[in-house]
Amino acid sequence: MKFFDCHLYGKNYESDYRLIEESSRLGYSGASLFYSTDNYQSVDYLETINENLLARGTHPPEDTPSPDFSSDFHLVAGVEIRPKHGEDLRKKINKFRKKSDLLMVLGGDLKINRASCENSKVDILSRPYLKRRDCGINHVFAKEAARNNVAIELNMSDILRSQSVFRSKMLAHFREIIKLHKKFHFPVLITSGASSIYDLRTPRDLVAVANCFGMAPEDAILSLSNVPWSILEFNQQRKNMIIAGVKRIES
Amino acid sequence: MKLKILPPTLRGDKRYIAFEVISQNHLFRDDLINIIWDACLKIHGECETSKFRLWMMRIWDCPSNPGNFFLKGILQCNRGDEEKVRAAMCLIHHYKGNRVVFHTLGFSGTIRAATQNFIKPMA
Amino acid sequence: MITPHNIFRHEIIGLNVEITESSHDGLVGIKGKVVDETRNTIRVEVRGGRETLIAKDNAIFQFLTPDGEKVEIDGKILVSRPEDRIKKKFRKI
Repeated sequence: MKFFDCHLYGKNYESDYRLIEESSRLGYSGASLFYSTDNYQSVDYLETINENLLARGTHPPEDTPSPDFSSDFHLVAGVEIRPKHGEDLRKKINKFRKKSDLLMVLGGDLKINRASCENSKVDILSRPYLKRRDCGINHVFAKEAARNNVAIELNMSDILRSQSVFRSKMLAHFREIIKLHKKFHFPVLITSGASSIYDLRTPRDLVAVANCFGMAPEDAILSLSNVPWSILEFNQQRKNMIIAGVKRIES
Repeated sequence: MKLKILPPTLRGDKRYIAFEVISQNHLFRDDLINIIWDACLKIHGECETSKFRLWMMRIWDCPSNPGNFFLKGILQCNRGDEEKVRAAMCLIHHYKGNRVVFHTLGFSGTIRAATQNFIKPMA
Repeated sequence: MITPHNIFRHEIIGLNVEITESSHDGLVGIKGKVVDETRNTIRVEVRGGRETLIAKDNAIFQFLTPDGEKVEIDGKILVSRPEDRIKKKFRKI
């Protein structure tokens, strides 16, 4: 079972190194760090992180509790877009689509939620319920997202950092999204949304929490393993795709 | 831009609870919402309360005795969970140091029937 | 010039084609040259002189361009008369 944690916040070399080291120790086979549109250009240190962790893995220092870092840990960098309106969204998608492996749009505004569900260049729509009283998507958005293969992300940090009334309202929003998912079958991702090692949780723990808002354990395991890997595989073939249905084969 | 309403098969059934409140202090809409949510959370927990889909619809100020404040209101909740909400409301006794009591008047499937039968019955 | 970017808008009679996937198992593996085309079918001449009529929407085709590049096309987007395909708009990914 290969678990993939999709949403980790990337800040600087130190915190990224520690996040990846910790997520590898907790049992994830891959992780993706998301940067905002300003920081994305200067991400050259991902490969140095990978090399350093591999080097440390074979000779771990005596005072660290963590075991070897496995060499098939898949590290990916992605871009997080925070658009102000529809035009802004289209420009940024066209700018970053070819450069990045994963593209995520931060939802919240209904017009932006709709525009990203209808755009087949978007990979993930993150937190459509942000700062809203309802869950952010309805059956129209769900149908479009299923047609264009846009994944909707359920961020666990929203449940983690909230208390009492807010937490139960978040659970209600997640429940609505899962109800729409059962009917329309758009991809759903569960992520930890971690910015420090204290926000990371093991994959089995997240599956247990998913039971609280109506997701069966099999579906939760799929959304932690199969859905992210299939998005990554599709993106690797994206540069060979000319239009929907036409693929250039490299011999 | 508002979200389009879900079709009836996805909408989920709801019921309206008519209730009355007697308190020593005047209570506003926000206060009533906080009281009911806190009571549900304490007795049922975060997971169960998220299933109730509570929403305060309307509140009326009613004529009352001096020293007391009398309010009536209608609360929306999920069908099947009205008894749990009723239990939670019945166990409310204090709010910010003042005594408060909640009585449920009845359940109904529409707001109109709830107001006609429970809130404004002409004696 | 037939390139992978305009092959789906191009005349496909005369190109070499191979069927790689299909819901009908008997069609998988047919290789040959396209001889005729209608709205829903293409006629392929196999080695040996035999001609087979193949439905477009149930199969995935691999065309070989004259430059030697292989392009894989889903038959569903080729469903149209050849003269209408020039004007057709395709969904960009």
